[in-house]
Amino acid sequence: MTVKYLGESYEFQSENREERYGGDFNFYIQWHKHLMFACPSAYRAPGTMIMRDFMEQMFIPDYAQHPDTAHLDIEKLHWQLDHKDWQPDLDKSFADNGVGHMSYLHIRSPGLEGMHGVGN
Amino acid sequence: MAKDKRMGLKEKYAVMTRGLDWETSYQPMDDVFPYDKYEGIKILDWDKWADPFRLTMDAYWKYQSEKERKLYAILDAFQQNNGQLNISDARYMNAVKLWLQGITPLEYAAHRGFAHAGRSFRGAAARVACQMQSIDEMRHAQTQLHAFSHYNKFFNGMHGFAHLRDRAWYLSIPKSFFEDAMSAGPFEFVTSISFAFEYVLTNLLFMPFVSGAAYNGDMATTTFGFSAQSDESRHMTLGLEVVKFMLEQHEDNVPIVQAWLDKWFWRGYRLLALVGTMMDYMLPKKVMSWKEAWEIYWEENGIALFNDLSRYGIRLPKHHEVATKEKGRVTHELWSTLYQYGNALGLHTWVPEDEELDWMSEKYGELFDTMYRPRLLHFRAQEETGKRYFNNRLPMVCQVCQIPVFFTEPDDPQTQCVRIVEWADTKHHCCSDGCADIFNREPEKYVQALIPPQQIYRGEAGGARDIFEYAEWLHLVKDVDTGEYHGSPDHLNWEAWKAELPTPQANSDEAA
Amino acid sequence: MVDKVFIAFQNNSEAQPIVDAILADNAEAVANETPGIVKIDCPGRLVVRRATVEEKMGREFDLQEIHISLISLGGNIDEDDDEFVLAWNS
Repeated sequence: MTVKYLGESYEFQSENREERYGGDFNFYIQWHKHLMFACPSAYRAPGTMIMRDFMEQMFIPDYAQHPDTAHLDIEKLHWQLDHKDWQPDLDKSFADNGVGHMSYLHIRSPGLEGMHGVGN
Repeated sequence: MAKDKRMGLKEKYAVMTRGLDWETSYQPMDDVFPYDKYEGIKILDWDKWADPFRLTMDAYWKYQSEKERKLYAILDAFQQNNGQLNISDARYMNAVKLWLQGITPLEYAAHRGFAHAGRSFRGAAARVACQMQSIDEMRHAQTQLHAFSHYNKFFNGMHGFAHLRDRAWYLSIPKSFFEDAMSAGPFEFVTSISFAFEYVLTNLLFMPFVSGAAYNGDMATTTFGFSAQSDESRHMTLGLEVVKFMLEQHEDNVPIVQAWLDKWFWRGYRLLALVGTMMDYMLPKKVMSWKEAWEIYWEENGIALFNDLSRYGIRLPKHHEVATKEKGRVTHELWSTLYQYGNALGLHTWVPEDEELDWMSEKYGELFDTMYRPRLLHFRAQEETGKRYFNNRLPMVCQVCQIPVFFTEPDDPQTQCVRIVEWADTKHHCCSDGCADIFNREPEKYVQALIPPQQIYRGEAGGARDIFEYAEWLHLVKDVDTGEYHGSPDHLNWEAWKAELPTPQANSDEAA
Repeated sequence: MVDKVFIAFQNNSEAQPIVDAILADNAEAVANETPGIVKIDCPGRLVVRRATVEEKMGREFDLQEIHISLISLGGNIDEDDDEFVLAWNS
């Protein structure tokens, strides 16, 4: 369906279009069964950023308050990109791995299932 | 039978709401009233519109002035008698802050919305009803500001509600709700606000929450809350009448109205997560849990209403069963969210006291004990070791309801729920199937949404580079307006004020 | 099961005669109190009669005066000078 409107047309661009990021892009990541972090996290980064650098320099410091983070082995993650199973090459960039504007990354860490046996 | 020569109620209503207008001749009526047809609603006879209260303008002014006299007499007494010291605990004041920041601006938005809707309808009785409601809503905004102004002298976080309303991430939730309604046509606006929000859902705000304000000694909120709610019952009645009016006027209206009910039930329900969280977490003395309120006001009273409408071919709103599945967790999930993003909130958060946790166990049972209680106790333990938990990374936010995407899958409270929607090759994220349906119905509308974390990352929030600079842009002072309650100036002031009070008299009802 | 209608008033002395009148005129009505509120639930239909309120109040009463202390309601309304009726049609 579509919006009903008065006037000649109803056309608007997405407020969050990529061109507004000055060459960077906007993406999201969620760590499964770590609900102490209430929401997927939002990031801005350049598409040329190497994914290993992102995980080591941004993700791990952001998630440092969880007791599982100290044991996290980023080589052993199960990844999804936009809800589809996917295996990135951590030594390549986001762009080379096919991660783009508004991508949603999801990671599972087998053996690290959050606190209290309920994914906290 | 009328008591004297005055007109009876029905006769007076007919005289004062019919024949007040005219068919324009210099300009086509469709040019004078350009908004009341494009939504597709077909109206054959505007005179079939009736307010069952049959309230006319003269009676309206009479009763409203009576309500105002009563309200202001009580507010005067409250201010003159240091009413701020009678609340149960200063933590309670954070519910008042959230009301001032989130709900009072909605009253003003409703004032504007009903003024516009009143101008848009070509039926005189509909215009009279919208005019009364527009004036009511202005009254609500004013009386709330007046009542809260007293608290503003004593507590932090209440100094810039209008500024906050336009900038703060958590206030884009109520703001976007009303802007979605106000940017729709007049029939959708009235369906959304008067029916879906006021009839179906605001009982959850004004009944248990205001009762909670009474129980927590907040005479100001109790008084304006009930004064406002006496208007709400008229608004609710208008909401039900406008829905019945549309359904009775033409069968082609039924699917349009159903789609609006589906949309606005879900949007209203999502908005009320904030109210439920106020009830469960921000009232130190509890009246009723969100779960119990949902069971009474939706599962019993709300479903009765939809059963009544089934004779017109209306069914229960889509995803209502998801809302019911979430009743045991949504407030705990939202409190955890507010708690961790507390560095950018104009109110304080905390871990509840043990007796409050026990109350939650009693009300919410096993899921609370296995999942949310240990999470809260972990937060408490972190705080006690000087590492109070904050999440300073910006969250994903739903493109429709604008709530941070914290909800879990309807049948799995351990898995977060994220839905991806697309329009014109651009991806967006929603918190639920309910919000994804709303997006997919009008994608061109929702791609325009200003989503706060995205705004910050684009450098459009005063150039803020992190959550702390963002809070400054909101005019929030770190750890004074924001952050943890324990040790905050509000907390320390409260302890000092209570220590100065004389010992209560032995015969006082509240000598505890 | 018949769906319930409800009406809620501020729990104060002004509304008390109205509540009393409703409970007198509607055998199946049940009043539930929470702080500040009295909510009356009744299966199917509930009536507020002006004559009964006047008797309880000891003065003349205009049914529209209920707006002063009314908090909320659920049901279709039909009001005239003598009766205020709440009902579900289903």
